Parts: sequence; C-alpha cells; structure tokens
Amino acid sequence: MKRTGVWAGLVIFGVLLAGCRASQFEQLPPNEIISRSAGRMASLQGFEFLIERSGEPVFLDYEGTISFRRAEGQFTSPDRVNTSVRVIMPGLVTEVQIISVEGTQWETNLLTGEWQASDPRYSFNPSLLFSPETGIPAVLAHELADPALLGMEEIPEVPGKKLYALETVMPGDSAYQMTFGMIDNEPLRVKLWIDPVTFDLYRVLLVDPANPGDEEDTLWQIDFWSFGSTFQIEPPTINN
Amino acid sequence: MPASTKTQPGLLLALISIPIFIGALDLTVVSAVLPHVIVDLEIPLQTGLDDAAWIVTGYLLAYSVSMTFMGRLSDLYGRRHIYLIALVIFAFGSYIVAVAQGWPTQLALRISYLFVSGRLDASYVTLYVLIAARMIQAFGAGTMVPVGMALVADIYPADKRARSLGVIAAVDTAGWVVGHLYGGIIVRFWAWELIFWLNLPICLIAFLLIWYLMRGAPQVRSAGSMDWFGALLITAALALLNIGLGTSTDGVTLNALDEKSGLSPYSLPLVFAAFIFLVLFLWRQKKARYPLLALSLFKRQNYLAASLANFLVGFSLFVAIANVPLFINTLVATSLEQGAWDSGWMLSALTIPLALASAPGGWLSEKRGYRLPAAAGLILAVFGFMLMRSWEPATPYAILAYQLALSGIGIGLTMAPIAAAVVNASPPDQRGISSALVIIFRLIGMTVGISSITTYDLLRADALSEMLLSAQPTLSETVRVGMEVTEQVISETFVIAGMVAALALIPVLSLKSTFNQTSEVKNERE
Repeated sequence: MKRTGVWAGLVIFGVLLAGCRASQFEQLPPNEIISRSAGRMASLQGFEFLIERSGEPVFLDYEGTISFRRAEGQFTSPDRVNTSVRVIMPGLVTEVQIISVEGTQWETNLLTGEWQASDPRYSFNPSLLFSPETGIPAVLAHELADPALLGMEEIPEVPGKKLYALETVMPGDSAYQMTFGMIDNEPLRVKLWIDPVTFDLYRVLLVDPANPGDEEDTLWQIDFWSFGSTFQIEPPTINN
Repeated sequence: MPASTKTQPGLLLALISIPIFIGALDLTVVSAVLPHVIVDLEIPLQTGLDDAAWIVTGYLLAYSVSMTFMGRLSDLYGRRHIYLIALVIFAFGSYIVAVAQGWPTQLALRISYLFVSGRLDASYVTLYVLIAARMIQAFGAGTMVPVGMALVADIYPADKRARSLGVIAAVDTAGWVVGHLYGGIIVRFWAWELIFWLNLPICLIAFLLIWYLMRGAPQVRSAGSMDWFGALLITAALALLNIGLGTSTDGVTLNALDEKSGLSPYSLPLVFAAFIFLVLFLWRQKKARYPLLALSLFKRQNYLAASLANFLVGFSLFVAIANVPLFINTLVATSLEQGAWDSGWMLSALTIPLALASAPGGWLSEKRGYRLPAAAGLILAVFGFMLMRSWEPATPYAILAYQLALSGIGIGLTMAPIAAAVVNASPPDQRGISSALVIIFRLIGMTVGISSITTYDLLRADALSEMLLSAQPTLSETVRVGMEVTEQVISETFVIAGMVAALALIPVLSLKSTFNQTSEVKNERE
C-alpha cells in the first residue's frame, strides 16, 4: 500500500514536471518563431559563426580547383566581418583570413600570410551572408515558405538545451544572391534550430540538392553563438 | 640461467620479432603517407603543419620514452605479461588510428562540448585523436623492443645471446628501413587506414601464439622496485624538449590576424625546463637504489662517445628521411599517390644501402677497430648530404638515388661500429640495456631532428617568402615563389644534416682502438 502511494506520488510529480516544462515555452506558430528569430538576429550587436560545407564540393573558381570547406569568424553589426576560410585545392588544404569592413575586403596571401586587397574574382564574401538587406536576417524575415515545427531538439554542440526545430523552404534566388553564387539557384530545404526563450538562431542547415552527375547533396551548416558580443574588427595594416 | 620452455627458441625469437618489426615499420610508415593524412583530415597547411608533424614526432617520442623504463618494469613484473600487454596496447592504438575519423572524433567532440562553448574544429579534433592514438601505439611498440630483448636473453644461453639480441636490433632497424616503401605502396592502391587495420590480425596471431607457447616458461623476476620518479623525470625531459623544439607561433588566431610565424616565446623556456628535468633524472639515477640506467657505464669512454655519435647520426638520418618526401611531394609529384609511391622508392635508395652497409661496417670494425669504418662512413655521409643540397625539381631520380645511396652507405658503415662500441663497452649483465640504449640514443636524435628541422623549415620559409614576394603577388607568382622557397629550405636542411654528421666525427674519432677493445674483453673474461 505504502509502495503504491510512492509510485502514485512519482507519477503525479512527473506529470506536473512535464506540464511545467511544456508551459515553460510559448506555443507559437512556426511563422511567429521565425519572425521573432529574424528580429532578434537583426538587433544583435554581433555574434560568432561557423559555416561548414559537407557532401558534394562547391568550387570558388571557374576552373573547379578551389573548393570551399568551412569559414569561421565574427560578425559585428552592421557590416564588419572577420573570418578564416578553409579551402581545398588538389593535394593541399589551406586557409585564408578575410576582413570585410564597410564593403571593402582584404585577405591574407596564401604563402606569406601578408594582408592584401581582395581579388575581385574571389567569390567568397562573408559580409553578404549577414547583410540586413539580403543576408540571413532578411531571408528569415521575408523569404521562407511553409515553415513547420518539428518539435524540440538538442544539438550536440549545446548539450542540455532544447531548441525549436523547424523545417521550411528557401527560394533559390535568395540563397544564390546571399552566397554570391556558391549555392545553386534552386529552392532549398532548410532546417532551423531556435532558442525558445531568446529566439537566438543556433543553427541553419541548408540542403542543396545534387545536380545531375553529382554523387550527393551539398549540406551547408551555419552555426551561431556568442550572441550579442561585440568584436573589434578593423581594416588590417598592409605592408608595402 | 636461461628460462626453459618446451618450444624452439628460434620459433619464439621469430614470434617476438614480428610485432617488433611492425612497431618499427609504423615508425617511418607515416613519413610517406603524411601528406595524404593531412589532406584527408583537411588540416590547413599554414596553421596545421606544426601539429600534424606530431603524428611522426609523437610516435618517436612515445617509442623512445617507453624504451627507457618498460624494460625495467618487465624485470619486476615478468616479461611475458608486459610483452603481451604491450602488444595489446599497440593493437589498440592501431585500431584507434584506423577509425580516428569516426567514433573517436565524435566522442572527443561530445566530451569537449560539456566543457567548452563555441565550436571546435573537427579536423583538428581528429588530428589530436590521431596523435594520441599514434602515441598509444608507439608506447606499446617501444615497450616490445627492450622487453623482447630481455625475453630473448632469458630464453637463450649466454654464448648465443649476443647473436639473438643482434637479430632483434636488426629486425627493429629493418622495420623502419622499409616503412616508407610499405606506406608508399599501400597509399598507391588503398586508403592509408589500411596500414593500421593490417596490424590487427598480425597482433592477434602473435598474441595467441606467444601466450600459448610461452605459458610454461618460468617468469624471471628481479628483486628491487621500479623507479617511477625516474621514469617520470625522463618522460618529462623528452616531452618538453620535443614540445619546445616544435613550438612556433603558427596559430594565426582570429584575434591576432597580423601575427607572423616565428619561434614561440615558450620555446626556450620549454627547452630549458627539459634540460632541468634531464639533470634531475641524472641526479635521481645516481641516488636511486634501483636506477633505470647505470650511469657508471657512461664513464667508459667508448660508451659515451658512441652514444653521442648515435644521437647525431639519428638526427642527420631523419633529416634525409623527412626531406625526401617533402621534396618529391612539393616539387616533383603531380598527385599525392605518385608522391607517396615515388617517395617510398626514393627513400629505399637511402635505407636499403644503409641496411646492407651495416654488415661490412660490422666486419670492418672487428678487423680494424671501431674508429676507421665509423669515420669513413661519416665522411661518405657528409659528402652525400652536400651533394643533395643542389637538388632541384629537374634533377633526375637516378641522381637523387645515387646521392641518397652514398649517404645511406655512409650511415650504414657507421651504425655497426658505434653499436658494437656501446655493447662491448658494457659488462655482460648490462648488454641488454646497452643494446636498447643504442636504439634509444638514435631515436632521441631522430626525434630532436624532426622537431627542430620542422620549426627551422617553417621559420625559414616564412622569412624567404617575405623577401622574395612582391607587395601584391599574383597567384602564379605566389606558387612560383613557394616552390623556390621550398627548394632553398630543403637544400639548407641537407647542409645542416651534413654538418651534424660531420660533428659526429668528434666522438667517433675519440673511440678507443681495437687494441683497447681487446683488452676490455680480456679484462672482462678475467
């Protein structure tokens, strides 16, 4: 009898706990979650980011020899980006540092690490990704179609934190414009992970479908953290 | 008193030798496949080369460290047990290397995210897992050499012991001699991970056979205790030395984007700390009741001189071993597969003559004393290194091979006399540890060689690139200058290797003559 009472108590406690957890977050429609996340992102002073490409390679040059692998860096609103871009060339993996300030861009020389003005043919421009007009905040706010809430999920990089997991579709031209042509001009499946309390966008996963002849889809995973931090990003000193 | 077993000693010697051979093979196998591994792991050249070099250095370091004290541990706890445990450690390390990019990296990432925020670079996490696994492998492989030698010494009667110890030493040398070629062949046709997968069935068979065949053998155990403090001190000294020599400010961080490569401010303090730990180790060995190393041996002139020569020969030898793949992969080969294949064959032009010349070196030292063949060999090696400094991309492979063979023959002629000088200078009951010391000093020389030469290469390449490049270089200019700089740096390191080999002439010329050697033996007999 005593044991039954203990079990009943535990069940009631569990139900109450689940109820508390469920009511911890607002039950919002998917559009509203994304809209609040877009607003939050646009209001941030800065953040850190990591863009990783996996699956089918994406080339930065017309000859198809330099492929993009990852870019990690810091963004300070409205248009300062400091990033380290890893590219894969035949038999060689190398990194280029890029700084963008007010639309002007510099990069480090592959061999010496010395700063130089960016080659205009170089097709990775990180500031475009975070541009309030055409970048991720704008796409989140206006361009995503038919979002669906998949549930609450954790990502391994942020253990113990449940995030809204949503799925939606991004128009191809938005992705193409945002990435300066690195992503094909086709509609993309997008998965988003958003903090249910702050509405910080933790992760965006873009699935670029395989073109005829490709072996697999290209996956673009964009992670954000250090929300609201500011970073001192200034034009580099160029030695002549 | 040899331990009695029902099994043929020859069969046991062969069984013990196989894992030792594979362990030594894995010491150099990576020099041929390293470019593959770096690209496969997506490690960037600028910031990752220093760390990636630890795939080689870490193995050398753990291999040398385990050799310094695991032999003593087997004296205390039984050789069979320690040998079998070492075999399991080696196999486990091989498995982790083979699967490093899979679950070990995922596990390391998950654990790391419990403690760090932000995002970790999975490529580097895999690299560190790989380095740790290589060190586990090496700890097992290094342990097997002195314990294998001691096992053999237990099995064989005194009059046949020297030859069987020689077999183990030869098997160890043969392993690292053919390692590059083996690696080159594997990556030409298969993935580099296969090298490590192949270790597993061999280790399993060796484990079962040694466990079964030696189950009746009495476990010879010494009295006394293990000098753990001494082991800790020598480990710290060797580790700090390697980290110090291999440390440069390669990490161009996001917060210090305009930092240049250069020697880290930690380098000299680390090297100094290594020196302090070495002094402490020597002090400890002098005071300890059961030391790991009988320092009194180094009072014998031949012992000290030959050990020093071994260290310097190890240094210059590894410069050549590192430079050949670098030269071919950077300046000659058009693909990584071709680079690994060509490097493997070209290194054989150094290592096979080296192994073959050991025999006449030993014969000459018996007939004419240690000094003459050792000095002649060093002069030949220096000559070869000086010829190699003029290598350029257009140099035909035949010329490279002939010059490498010159140095290989030279070093080969030197090895046997200096090894014999150490072993013959030791009393009979110390010959086991002395045989291991011959390998240890050469390995430490190789470890210091790879660490310091990698740092030199990076610093020098950086300085030369700055000097030669224009303010706004085009991609083609950058590539051209990069190749010129690599050629120049390789040329300079061959000169350094030649100078270090020439420096080894000093201890070699101080070796006592045959007359004294005979006296030593006579004294010993009396």
